[in-house]
Amino acid sequence: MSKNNKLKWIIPLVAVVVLLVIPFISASSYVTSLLTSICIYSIFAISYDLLLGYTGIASFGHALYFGLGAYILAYTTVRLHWPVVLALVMVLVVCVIISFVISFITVRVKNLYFNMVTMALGQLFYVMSTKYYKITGGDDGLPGVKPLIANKTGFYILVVIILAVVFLFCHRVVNSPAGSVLKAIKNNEERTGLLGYNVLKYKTLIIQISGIIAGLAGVLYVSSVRIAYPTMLHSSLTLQALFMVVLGGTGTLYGGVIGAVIMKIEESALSGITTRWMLILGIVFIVVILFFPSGTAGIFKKLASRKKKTEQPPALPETKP
Amino acid sequence: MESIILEAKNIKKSFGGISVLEDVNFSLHAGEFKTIIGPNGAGKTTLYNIISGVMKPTGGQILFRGKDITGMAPYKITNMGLSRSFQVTNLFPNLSVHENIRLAVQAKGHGSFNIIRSSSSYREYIEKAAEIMEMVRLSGKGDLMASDISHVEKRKLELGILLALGGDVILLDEPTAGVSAEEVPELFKIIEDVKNTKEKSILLIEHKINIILNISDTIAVLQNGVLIADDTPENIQKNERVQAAYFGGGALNG
Ligand SMILES: Nc1ncnc2c1ncn2[C@@H]1O[C@H](COP(=O)(O)OP(=O)(O)OP(=O)(O)O)[C@@H](O)[C@H]1O
Ligand SMILES: [Mg+2]
Repeated sequence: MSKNNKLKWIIPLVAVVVLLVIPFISASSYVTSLLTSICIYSIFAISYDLLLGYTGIASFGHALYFGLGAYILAYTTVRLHWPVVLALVMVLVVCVIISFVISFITVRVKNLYFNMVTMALGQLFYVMSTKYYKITGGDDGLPGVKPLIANKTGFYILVVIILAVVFLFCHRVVNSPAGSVLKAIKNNEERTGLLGYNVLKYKTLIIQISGIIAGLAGVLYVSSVRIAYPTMLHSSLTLQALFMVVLGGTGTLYGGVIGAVIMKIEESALSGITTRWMLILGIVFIVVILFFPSGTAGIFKKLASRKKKTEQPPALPETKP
Repeated sequence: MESIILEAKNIKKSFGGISVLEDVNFSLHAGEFKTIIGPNGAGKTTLYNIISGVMKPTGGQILFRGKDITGMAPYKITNMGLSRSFQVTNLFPNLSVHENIRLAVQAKGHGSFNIIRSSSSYREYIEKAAEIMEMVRLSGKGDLMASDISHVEKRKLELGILLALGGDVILLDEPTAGVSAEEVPELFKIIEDVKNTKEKSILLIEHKINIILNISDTIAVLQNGVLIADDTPENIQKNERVQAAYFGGGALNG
């Protein structure tokens, strides 16, 4: 058991070490920015997995928090000249408040209505970002954001560390007593209530945690691209998170990371050749849904269990009719 | 007689104008074992849905320890110490058997809202869950997915979840539904064990007359939404109305 537990930590640990040394091996700034973007999207995807994979909540407005994080950092530092720390506190406060308000509205509606309401609220902010030109810069966005760390490699290392911390934190959350309740809600919401759990309270909790992490991803993203623009609030970004989590495997946390790696590498590899990379991704997505419903993580798990099975002596001989 | 712990007062329920329960009155005393019998569609499960807060009645009141709980959120009712099982198995299919029970144990304990400590560090919950699994004869099945166990094991798990909740009043809805005749006694042994602890007041919905005559303190008969009798097993057997509706007429499944 403990050996197994230790083994479980080796892969993420090695991954972090590899990520940390890559910029010192390859001096290519292209690789560094690709990896930076992968890590930031991983954070975003992990936050989405908390909702979709662990609680069974399919939000179509998750980009809202990402965009809020990005815009608040941009606006407060560029326009209001706030110090970064204050800007970050502001992001946190706004994400907590907005996620609370949104969860208050949305957890009371069911299924498809929930999806529609989250989508509507997300798109509302998107439209607002294009209309309130004076604050948001409209379609031109808010340029001039200073990165949290000026040195590209330095910033990348910060992002890797934050990804590792977020992963660890989420790992704790999903394995905590509250995390068990989230899994129960995903399995059977009605019965979870009948066990004595206030389901709304737990849903609100996870929507808030997930919103704050998504806001953090937005902060990092705006800090790496140095401009906030409306598509950071758009539902297509939510769909990307959904793609990543489903591609990688829902309810695993690391599935989001795998999905981000696949999507961002494919995007950068194909976008040079064809503008239709989204189309290709769409086809990949359909294939995954049809043939590997538990995502890439599911393929690994299946392989692992097959290996285990062949190691064991065969059970009862199958009786053939 | 002991004091009344659960009371239904003039409970009415209709679905889209079709009346399913008509002025149902009964009371369950502390420590009592009452069985509700009645043909399919009589309204037994609907009555449980109303008591447990899953449905609101069209009229009437449910009192639990003298407190009006009508229409209260189900989780609040469970937390007050009243819990139910389901006729159609209602588990957490993609969680392990152990996790299904541990979740129920954890529900009434502290720390449920903790997001940092590991579930596996709450030893008292794990031990209690193991105890419950032994009680419902599921020891050794803990690591299996709830969706992967046999039907009778699912029925045991359904009971296990209920017992793990630790309510003083438990409502069992056809615990042996869909279970083969050979497996019924084992399930009833569990229910008898629970009864023998003398810690709980029990309401049971069950069709298997020969078994319930022995186990029940009282038997209530529900027919077409009307409670036509509520008495000791001996008197119920002698009751002419019940005989006509139930024993004689062979209307058991009508
Ligand atoms: N949600 C619902 N909507 C509409 N009608 C319902 C609903 N639930 C139950 N009914 C109807 O109410 C009546 C009583 O159903 P109920 O499930 O309470 O019967 P029961 O006594 O538990 O029967 P059984 O022995 O078959 O379990 C049935 O006619 C059923 O069709
Ligand atoms: Mg029923």
